[in-house]
Amino acid sequence: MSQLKAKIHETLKNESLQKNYYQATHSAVAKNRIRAQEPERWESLRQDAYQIRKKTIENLPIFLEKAEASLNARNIETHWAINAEEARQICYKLLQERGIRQVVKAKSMLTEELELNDFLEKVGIRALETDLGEFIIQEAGEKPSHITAPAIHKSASDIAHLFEEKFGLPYTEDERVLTEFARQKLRDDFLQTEAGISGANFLVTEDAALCLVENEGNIRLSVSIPPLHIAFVGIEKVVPDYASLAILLELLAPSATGQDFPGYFSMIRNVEPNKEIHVVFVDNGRSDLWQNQDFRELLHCIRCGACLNSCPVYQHVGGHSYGWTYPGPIGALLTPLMRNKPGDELLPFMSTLCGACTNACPVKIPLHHLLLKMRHQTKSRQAKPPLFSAGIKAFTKTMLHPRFYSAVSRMARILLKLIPGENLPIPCMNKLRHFARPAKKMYRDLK
Amino acid sequence: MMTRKIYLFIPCLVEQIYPQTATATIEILQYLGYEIIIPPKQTCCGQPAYNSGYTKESVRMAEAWLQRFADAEYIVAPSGSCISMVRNHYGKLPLSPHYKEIFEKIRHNTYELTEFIWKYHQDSYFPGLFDASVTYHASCHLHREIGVGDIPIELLKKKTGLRFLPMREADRCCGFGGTFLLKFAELSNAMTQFKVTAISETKADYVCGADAGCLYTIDSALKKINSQTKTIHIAEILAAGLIE
Repeated sequence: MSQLKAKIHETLKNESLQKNYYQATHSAVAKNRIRAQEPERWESLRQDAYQIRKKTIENLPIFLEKAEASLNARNIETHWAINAEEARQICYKLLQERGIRQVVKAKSMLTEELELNDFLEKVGIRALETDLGEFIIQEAGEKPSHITAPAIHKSASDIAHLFEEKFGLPYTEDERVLTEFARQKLRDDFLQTEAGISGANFLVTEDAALCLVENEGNIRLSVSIPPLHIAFVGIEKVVPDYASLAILLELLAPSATGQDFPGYFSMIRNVEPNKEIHVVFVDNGRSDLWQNQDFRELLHCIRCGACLNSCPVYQHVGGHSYGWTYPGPIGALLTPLMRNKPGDELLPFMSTLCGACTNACPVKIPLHHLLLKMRHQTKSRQAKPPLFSAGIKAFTKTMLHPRFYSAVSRMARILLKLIPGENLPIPCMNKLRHFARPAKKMYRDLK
Repeated sequence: MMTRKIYLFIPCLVEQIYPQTATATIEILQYLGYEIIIPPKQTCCGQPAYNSGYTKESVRMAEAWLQRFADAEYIVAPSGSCISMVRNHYGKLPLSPHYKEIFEKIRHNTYELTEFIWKYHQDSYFPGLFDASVTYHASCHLHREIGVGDIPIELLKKKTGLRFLPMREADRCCGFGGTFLLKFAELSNAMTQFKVTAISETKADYVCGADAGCLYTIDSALKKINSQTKTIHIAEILAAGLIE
C-alpha cells in the first residue's frame, strides 16, 4: 500500500476526524452569502478576478520590478530568495544581526512551505505562532491541515484536551474560555518580542501596500508591535492597483470562510519611526511554474481554500493525507510540480474530477481540468501501474473493434452464468459494494 | 416537413447494464417526432482511457467515435458525462486535422438528453403515470460541465403521479470518477456512503439520475445494505406509460 493510501485508510477509519473536516468546510461554503444571494454579481466578480490575475501573472516580471521600486521608495528593504534555504538564511541573518532570539509569527502558508519554524528552532530562535489555529497545532506538534484554517481537523474537545495537558487548564469545551486563555497567553509574547514574521495576502505594486487579511487581530499585533517586521511574499502575490485589490478582497473572505469581509484587514504602507520592514520575495519553484505554460495558471491562486472547502475528497481524507503544505485540489497540483517527491504524482489521480473545485475557485482556475492534464503528462509507474495500463490498452483495443466487443460481451455473459450469485464477482470489491450483473442481453442484441 | 434525424449515442454502461435506458430514450425522442439512427459500430466515447491519462488511446477512441457520428445532424445521449467528454474534451486531444474538422462540425449539435428536451421541447409533456416518490442526484459532469442546472428536476416534476423529494447536497459527487473507483476503492466507497445516507434520508422509492455511471455506483452501495430505494434513469421515468 502506498503512503498516500495508508494515510487515506487511517483518516477514513476516524469518523470524528472526517466529521470535523466536513462540518467546518461545509459551513464555510454554506455561509457564502454573495454567491447564494447574488449569483450574477458573484460570477462577474470571478470573471474580473480571473482577468486581473491573468494580466498580473502574464506580466509578472514587470510587476515585481515595480513592486520593489515602490517598496524601496518607502524605505522598505527588499530581498530575493530563489529557494527555501535562501529565504531562511535571509531571515536568520536579519535576526542574528540584531541579536533577536524570539519571534512572533502571523499565520503564513509560505513560511510553512519554507519550513521556517523547524529551521529557527534548530538555530536556537523561538518562533511563537500567534494565530489561534496555528497556536493550537504548534502546541500539538502538528502541521496545518487547511490553507486558511490550520486546525480545522480539531474539535473543541480535542483542543480542550490539549490545553488541559499542555497548560493545566481545567477541561472545558467552551470555545470562549479556550480562546480567551490563548489570547491572554499570547498578549505577553507580543509585548516581549523583538521581531514579527508574516506572509502577505497581496502586495499592491503601484503604492507598495502590503496587505494582510485575518480574523483575530494577531497579525496586526505581530507586525506592528515588534520593531522589526519581516514579510515573506511569494512572487505571485503582486496586485497592480487598488481597484484590482478591491475585487480580489471582495472574493477572498467569502471563498475562505463564508464571511462577507474578514475581521481585520491591514495595509502596511509606511515604516514607522524606529521600525524596520523587510520584504523577502520568495521564488521556491514559482518561476519554474511560470515557465510552464501548461500549469502557469496555478500562480493565479490567492490561497483562499475554496477548492478545499468544496472538495468531497478533501472532506473525507483531510489535509494531512496530501503530505505537503498545500492540500486539496490546489495541493494535488502544486505538490507534484513544486515538491515532486516520489509518490506525489499519485495526487492528481486522487480526484473524481467532479469539478466542485473549479466551480468554487474565485479566480476561475480550471482545477479539475489541470488535474486531468497532469494525469496525461505523468509516466509514473505508481500512477500508471503496468497491469492497469495493460487493462486500459485492452479495453481500448476491444472498443475499437465493435464486432470483437460484441463477441466479448456475449462471451462474458456466458461465463458469468457459471459463477453463482447475483453480484458481479469482483474479488477486491465485494466487501464494499454489490455491483449488479450486466443485463441479460446488451442493447444491440435486444432487437 | 421532413422528419429530423437524431443519431443516438448509447454509452457503454447503458449498452451493457441498462439497455432499458436506451429503449426509453428512443421512445421519448420518437414521441417528440424524431427519426432515430443508431450508428451500428459505436462503442465508447473513450473516457476511461482519457480520465486515466492515456493520451494515445484517448485519441484513437475519440477518432473512432467521431468517424461513426460524422454525418449526424443531432447527436443525443442519455449521459452528461459522455457528452461532456465529446463536447468539452475531444477538442483538447491531439486529433488529426480530418477529425478536428468533424469535431468542429458536430460539437454544437451534441446534446445530453434532458438538455436536448429542454432546448427544443421545453413545453412538452410526457403522458403516462409514474406513481412513486423520487429524489434526484445531480451528476457532476451533467451539472457542472454541461450545466443543465435544475432542468432534470423540472422535467421530473411534470410527470403525472411523481412525488418529488429533494436530496441534500444533490450535486455532491457519488464517488464514481471512472477508474477512480478502482484506484481509490476505499475513498470512493466513503464518498458513495455519504451519498447513500443523503438518499436514505429522503425515504424516496427511487433515486433518479441521468448518468449510468453514477447510478451503477449508487446502486452498488444501496444493494449492499439491501436498501428499498432503487436507482432509475430519468429517461425511464419520462418514458413510463408513454406508449400504450
